[in-house]
Amino acid sequence: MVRDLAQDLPEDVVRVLDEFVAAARAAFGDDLVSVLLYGSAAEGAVRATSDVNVILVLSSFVPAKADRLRDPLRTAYAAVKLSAMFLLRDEVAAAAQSFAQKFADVLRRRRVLYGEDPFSTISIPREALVARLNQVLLNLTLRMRALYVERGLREEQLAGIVAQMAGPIRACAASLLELEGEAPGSPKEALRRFTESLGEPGWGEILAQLSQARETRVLPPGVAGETVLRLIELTQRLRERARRMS
Amino acid sequence: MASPLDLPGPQFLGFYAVFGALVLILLYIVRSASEGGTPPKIDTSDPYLIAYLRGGKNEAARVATVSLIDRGLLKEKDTTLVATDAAKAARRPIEKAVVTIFRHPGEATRIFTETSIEAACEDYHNTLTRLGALPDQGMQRTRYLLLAGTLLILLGFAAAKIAVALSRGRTNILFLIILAIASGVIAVIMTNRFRTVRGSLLLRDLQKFFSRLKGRASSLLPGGATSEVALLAAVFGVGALPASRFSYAKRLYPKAGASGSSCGSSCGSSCGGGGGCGGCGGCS
Repeated sequence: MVRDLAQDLPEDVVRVLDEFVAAARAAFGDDLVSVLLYGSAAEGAVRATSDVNVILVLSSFVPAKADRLRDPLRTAYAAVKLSAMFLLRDEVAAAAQSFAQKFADVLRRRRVLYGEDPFSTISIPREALVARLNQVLLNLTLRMRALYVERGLREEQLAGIVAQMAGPIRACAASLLELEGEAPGSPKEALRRFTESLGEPGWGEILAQLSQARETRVLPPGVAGETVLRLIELTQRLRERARRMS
Repeated sequence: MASPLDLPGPQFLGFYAVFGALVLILLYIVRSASEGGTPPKIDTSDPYLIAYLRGGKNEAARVATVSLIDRGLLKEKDTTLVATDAAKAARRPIEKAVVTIFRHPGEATRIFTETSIEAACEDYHNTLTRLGALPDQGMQRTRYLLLAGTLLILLGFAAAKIAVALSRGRTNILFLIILAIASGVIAVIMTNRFRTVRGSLLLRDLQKFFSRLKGRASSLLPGGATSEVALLAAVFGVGALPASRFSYAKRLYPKAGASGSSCGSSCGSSCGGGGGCGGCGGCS
């Protein structure tokens, strides 16, 4: 299954995923139900600064078996920033409900690297997604405010904040469109459509800066601070729309 | 057809330079054929194994030291190191050897002269030799034979011309001697590599595998929460660590460089300690 990704993902990422899945199978044996790739890598959109996120669904978490995966996981993180979530099969539904926004993204963007797809029968209750979306957007707003004040004197740090926030904000926009009954497309596309729906000038430029920061972690001088402030505004606008659904 | 030995001096020098180059190319091809092949798989989770492949015991010890400082198991002051109370957490043999060396404060370069480091690296050497990444005795023998044959051809041909020149009363043989010695030295360097061709392919493969890590080196954070620092130093050299956050690396080992291909840091820097150059015989 990992091989199927070879057309979409860089060679090194495919290789790391290949080796990581093999190591996970060797470590957990029959306890390993599935390995799923989610997020931007599942879309085949891995940038130089992107994380590679996987979920390991297990029938049980045996520490002695998990220990065998510690070295391979650290190597995979060093090579391509691969992060793993360890989820028991009977926790899948509860996790999807409790972390509805995150798992809404998983439902939209995932690829099965090994085993069955435990999310194929999962649906996230609308009220759970609305509540969680509100929570996540508020949290993003608060975090960005704090980071803006803490690191605002360092332009390069602000560009890093913009890059870091791009993924979550885009994913929130996708969830919002989904809740509004639209097919969100990719999270990036969803955010573009949301800003268009605002009917205000200037957002296109902000989205371009968001993409630039995500790809290069660098923004032109004097731009990063303003971009963070506009992103705070954007998350507030997203939240206003999300609150209407409560 | 006239013998090349009858060519006048300048023409013969040109002929000899081309001839020497062809012989050296042939040597390279034969060596590649005998030592090459698909790069073997190694345990990429052990940074010291990779560091050993890149530059021998000195490089492995250097990476281990930097990693231990990053994790807070060693404390640095100026150019000296001392183990901290947390040093008992060292788990790999080379880490334990380094911690033992610095149980009492000492110069960071002591790692290059302590025999315990060599003992701690024995497994790495054996593993890499077994995998064909470092030359075993059979390969060494082949290398000696190749070198002997190459030197015989290069120096023998030059000697023949010198004999002819002297017999004809010509003494302007200095340039030919220089050329012969230079080509001989190149042949010695080519056959006295630390790694095999396969080992060099493996190192290149590892550098490709960890190229993203090198790309984000400037954003690495100290603290040892991940293996990024150790692996970056292992694959690309201690010099690849960002000086802003890991200034001690440069201070403790000023000769350590960053390696794009492999030669820069492994050979030059292995001798940084003012003592042992044991682990590094060259760069393939």
